[in-house]
Amino acid sequence: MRGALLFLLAVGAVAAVPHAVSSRYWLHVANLSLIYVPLAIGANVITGYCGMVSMGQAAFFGIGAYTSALLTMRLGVPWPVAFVAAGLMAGAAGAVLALPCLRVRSDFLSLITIAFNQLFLVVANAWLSLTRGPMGLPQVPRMEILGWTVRTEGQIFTVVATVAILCAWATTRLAASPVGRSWEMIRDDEVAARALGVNVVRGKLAAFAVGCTLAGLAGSLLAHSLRLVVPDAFLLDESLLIMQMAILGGLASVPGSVLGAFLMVGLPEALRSSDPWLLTYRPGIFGALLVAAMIWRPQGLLGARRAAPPFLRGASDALRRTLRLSPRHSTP
Amino acid sequence: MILEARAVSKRFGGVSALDRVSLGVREGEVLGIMGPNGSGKTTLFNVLTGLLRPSAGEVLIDGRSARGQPPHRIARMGIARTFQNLRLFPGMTTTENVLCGAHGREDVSVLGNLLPRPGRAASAAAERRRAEDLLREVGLGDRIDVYASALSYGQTKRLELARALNMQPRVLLLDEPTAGMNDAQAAVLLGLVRRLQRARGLTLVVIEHNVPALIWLADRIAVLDSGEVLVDTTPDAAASDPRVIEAYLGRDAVPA
Ligand SMILES: Nc1ncnc2c1ncn2[C@@H]1O[C@H](COP(=O)(O)OP(=O)(O)OP(=O)(O)O)[C@@H](O)[C@H]1O
Ligand SMILES: [Mg+2]
Repeated sequence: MRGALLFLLAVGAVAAVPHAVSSRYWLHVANLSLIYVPLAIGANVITGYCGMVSMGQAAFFGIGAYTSALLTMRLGVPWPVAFVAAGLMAGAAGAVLALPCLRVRSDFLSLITIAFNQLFLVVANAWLSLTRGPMGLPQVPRMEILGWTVRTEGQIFTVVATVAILCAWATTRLAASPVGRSWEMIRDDEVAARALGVNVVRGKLAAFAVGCTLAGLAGSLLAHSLRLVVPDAFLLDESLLIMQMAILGGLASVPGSVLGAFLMVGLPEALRSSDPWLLTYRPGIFGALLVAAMIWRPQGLLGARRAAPPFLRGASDALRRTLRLSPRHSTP
Repeated sequence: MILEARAVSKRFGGVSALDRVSLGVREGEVLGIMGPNGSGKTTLFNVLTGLLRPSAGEVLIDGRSARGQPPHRIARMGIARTFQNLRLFPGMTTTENVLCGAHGREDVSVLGNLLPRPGRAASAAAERRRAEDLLREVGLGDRIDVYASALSYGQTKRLELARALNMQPRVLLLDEPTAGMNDAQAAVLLGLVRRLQRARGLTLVVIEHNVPALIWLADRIAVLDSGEVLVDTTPDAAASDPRVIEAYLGRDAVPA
């Protein structure tokens, strides 16, 4: 019932906003924020629901962007097909990267994702015949759905908002399913999860692949709405930003990730002309906010009760001890 | 033998936690395990459930070697356990905790859960009812949908029992189910364990420091000492065995 109501509300908003908001600028800000919604949700699946860390989400974002742009430009693939392919490609890349790490020790994964992000940038900059290197891919075709070409910011809004809503819906549904429960079991106590029949490697792999798939889908949206794909859009800073969105917005909370995307992409973008420092110093500002959150609210703004994974609880308690505050989580 | 350790040894560096332990449990039997602190009881459970690999020897389930089987497979073969120091999910409710026991019989594929499937809502509702029934059965009928972190210590022990039972196990391993309880609480809980065992024909392995209680509960008692099986016999014979009295009862047998 509540779900149906939310759904109607969302459809109404998607239909109404492009008419109600006449400013191209504000629509652009909204669109950019909405493109980051699947990214933040994806990072949240990995960290908030399953307790892993990925510092390389920008690489999967980039894989989606290049896949979608190249498929449409070189092979003339229709955009909806390229969009799905972008998600699958990023998801598959994530799975291939994660499997060997998870087999050994899952803490390796966070280190490997950093390395993977850098490797992705090297390839994107160096493989000139495919990516045109630092010059990037210009004039990426517009999104086109069954003959309807997406031209204006208002039309882009309709598409990116629809995708964001679908991603939010799918993740909410997964989180409430036995899969989501097994992710939380893994996050909270791997030993107990194993003893209860959970295949921990498989569960983590699934969460990581889902998170990367969402990043890939966002990449396709970015490529075809900005109509330009350059390697510099996928720097390690971007990965940190995505991670911060998921954590600050709220761990294991889909609305939290939506909030995180609007707060950390939309707000600095909106204030770009009046307060450009917010955009310039964004990594520092949100880094500081993250430290503050670690001390007072490690699960993030809208985070679910006790959703902070063990590594964040540890960080939180260490910070609190340093400040002579009583630790919140630690058990002897 | 439904579950059996055959010549199992487990060494941690220089410490020999288990030394050629051979011990099995028959279908429907209650096997009690006792032994002083550090004698290897929990390590035996960890090896039986696949959480630890034995340094030598092997575990057999239904007479077949479980060598190399990961813990989740062993769990799905019907071996459930509780933990000495409790491993509940405190951020979940009591009902959610019990539902975690249903993992082995649920569809946990990502696509399967995204795509519509007829009967999903009905089976989810049935699992929920089953979980609530189990909570009532272990005496937590008034704690349904309460966060696990809000339970008293005795209640958490019962919750972990309900979660393990929801796996519908063939063998249930209980690691000190009454640890930290006073005698009255312990008696009530062991009474519950025995009722559940009888009602379901469960095969049960119980680690328990309270010797009279164990003699009352078990069909057979094994005593571990320094990683070795000292005695494996009937409860009455164990109680009067001089080696048991020396190795176990003679020391400070019942911890506070
Ligand atoms: N993971 C481990 N690493 C190293 N040593 C261990 C480990 N687990 C157990 N041990 C050692 O193995 C021995 C047996 O421990 P175990 O926990 O099995 O004893 P126990 O009989 O369950 O004792 P208690 O009655 O205190 O629960 C002890 O010396 C213990 O220190
Ligand atoms: Mg023990």
